[in-house]
Amino acid sequence: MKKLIIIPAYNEEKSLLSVIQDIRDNAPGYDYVVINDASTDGTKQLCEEHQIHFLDLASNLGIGGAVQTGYQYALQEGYDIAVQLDGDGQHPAAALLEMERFLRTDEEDAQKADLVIGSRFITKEGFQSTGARRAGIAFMCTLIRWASGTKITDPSSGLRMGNKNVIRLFAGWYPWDYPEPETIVTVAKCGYKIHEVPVMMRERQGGKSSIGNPLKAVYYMVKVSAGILIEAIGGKRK
Amino acid sequence: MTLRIQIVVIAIAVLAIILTFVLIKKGLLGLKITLPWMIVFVLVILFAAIPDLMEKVSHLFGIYDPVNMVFFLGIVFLVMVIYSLTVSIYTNRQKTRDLIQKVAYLEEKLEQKQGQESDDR
Repeated sequence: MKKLIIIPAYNEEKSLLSVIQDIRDNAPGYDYVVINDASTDGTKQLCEEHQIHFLDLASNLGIGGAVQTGYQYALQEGYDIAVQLDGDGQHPAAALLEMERFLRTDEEDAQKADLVIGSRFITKEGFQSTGARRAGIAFMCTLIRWASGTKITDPSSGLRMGNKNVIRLFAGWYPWDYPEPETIVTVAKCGYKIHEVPVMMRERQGGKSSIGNPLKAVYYMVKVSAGILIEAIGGKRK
Repeated sequence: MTLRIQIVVIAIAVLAIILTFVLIKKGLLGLKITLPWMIVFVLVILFAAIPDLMEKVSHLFGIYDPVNMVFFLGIVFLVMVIYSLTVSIYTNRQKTRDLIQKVAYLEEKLEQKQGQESDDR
């Protein structure tokens, strides 16, 4: 079985090496690909020097386009499993084997899920984010449950593992920015099963949050809410 | 409408048509995308040349003052144009994204192949 780790990286020169090392040590059997999203720091040079496998985007696409590039790569290269793992070091590679246990990779396993999400909030261990952010997350959870009937505790988690169904879906369609919450609804709408696994996350080691200031937070909530509603209404994406 | 403003308006519209024509010939614009503008320029010439026409058309719409009709139709036209531009910007963004993704993939394949070839030697 072919398994791929997708690592979107925009200016992650400080944390990328330890992320790769973590994967080599703690995720045996997994291939990985870094998607360098036209970083302006030394991310690309770092990849070349240390022979880190990477795809180089000629122009910055943002998180959505970068992650989708990884799913398209997984589709082209015939991977059975693709998992997105942030390049900033907040996701432990050791969680992948646990997540994989809940992923359906052949037709018989009807109990298992097509998309497995690593969640910070099931056992509430590890880095837990700040108050205002938690409130926003609670709101998104309610909205997603209302829109798709799926119970999720960590809708914005960027640690997600998909089987071939999800790979095909995401390779064909993926939002531009802040893609995680609305794509959960997209996946549910297609009739695919979603499961959450508790994961201890670390505080990011390098890089910056994409939701830095209050204005961006407002945009984030409006965009994500609208995205969830649009995904919920009407037919499913192909 | 005074004769002078009639002449000025017609002159501007004619210049705009000539400019569009030149740009199409130079390949800087396409006919399809400029056709709505061409129609507007021709209408402007028609309305400026025949003031009675504007009066009649505005009464047809139930608008008393022909000037209000000009504002109304002008805004409707501009909103339509801007909206279609938004659509085309998004389409172009999407196409650019597809290209960037494909180039990244092909670049990796190419480097892989070159690596293999240099290993073979």
